[in-house]
Amino acid sequence: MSLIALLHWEAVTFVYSFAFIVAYGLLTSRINTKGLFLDKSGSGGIRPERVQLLIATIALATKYISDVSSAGRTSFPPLDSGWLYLFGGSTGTYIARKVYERFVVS
Amino acid sequence: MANMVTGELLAKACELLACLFLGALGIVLLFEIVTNKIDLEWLISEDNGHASMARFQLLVFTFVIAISFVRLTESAKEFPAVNSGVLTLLGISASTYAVGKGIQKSGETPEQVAPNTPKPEPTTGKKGEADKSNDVKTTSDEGNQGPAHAD
Repeated sequence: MSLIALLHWEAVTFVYSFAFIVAYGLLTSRINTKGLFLDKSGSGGIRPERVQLLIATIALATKYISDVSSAGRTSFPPLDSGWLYLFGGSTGTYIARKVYERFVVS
Repeated sequence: MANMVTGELLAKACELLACLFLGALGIVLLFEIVTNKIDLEWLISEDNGHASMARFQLLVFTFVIAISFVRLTESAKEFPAVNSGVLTLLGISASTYAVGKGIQKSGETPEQVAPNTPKPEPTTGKKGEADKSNDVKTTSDEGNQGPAHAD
């Protein structure tokens, strides 16, 4: 086995094993996910901006991995402006709500 | 000639040593995580014990980029150039986390204690007091009624 093959095997094993461990921890609650969607200002209800941010994150991550996995690709795929607007808008909504809660409501 | 051969052998030995060190480091880290010596329970949690969307998002995109990097390096047989799309993706994600943290810190009370903070060693003769103090903090965290619940 050449050194390059050994390094490749190490990198693949580490990254995929670590990703599996974290995913398993999230799914089995070994990693704390309590309150991920909840309102932290006291009411305890589910916040829509958190839910939409989670959906946008998972959608973009899936799309990106899918693009990378397409056959013959040897460089990082470009992100088109539509996805960037979607992700930026989603994140902006989340941050705007936090700013509003922190500086306007309280 | 002999010096060249020795140099090449030394270089190969160093490369092999580096490979073995990285492999051993990876195995040790994974083993300690699996056996809970490295505790990941609060990986995406804030100081108040609640999970944070910004941390979760940063975690997801870090893995997405890491897996992409490994796959592309495998197919291209060289390190892929990092383009603006990757930088934008990680930039937005990291900025969300940083801004959220800034908002949280701007309203934080000094009494907040992270759930994973190691408990202080009880001093001799004051064990009861130390336990009582810890109990109060835990109850306060569970009640979660302070002003600083930015995430």
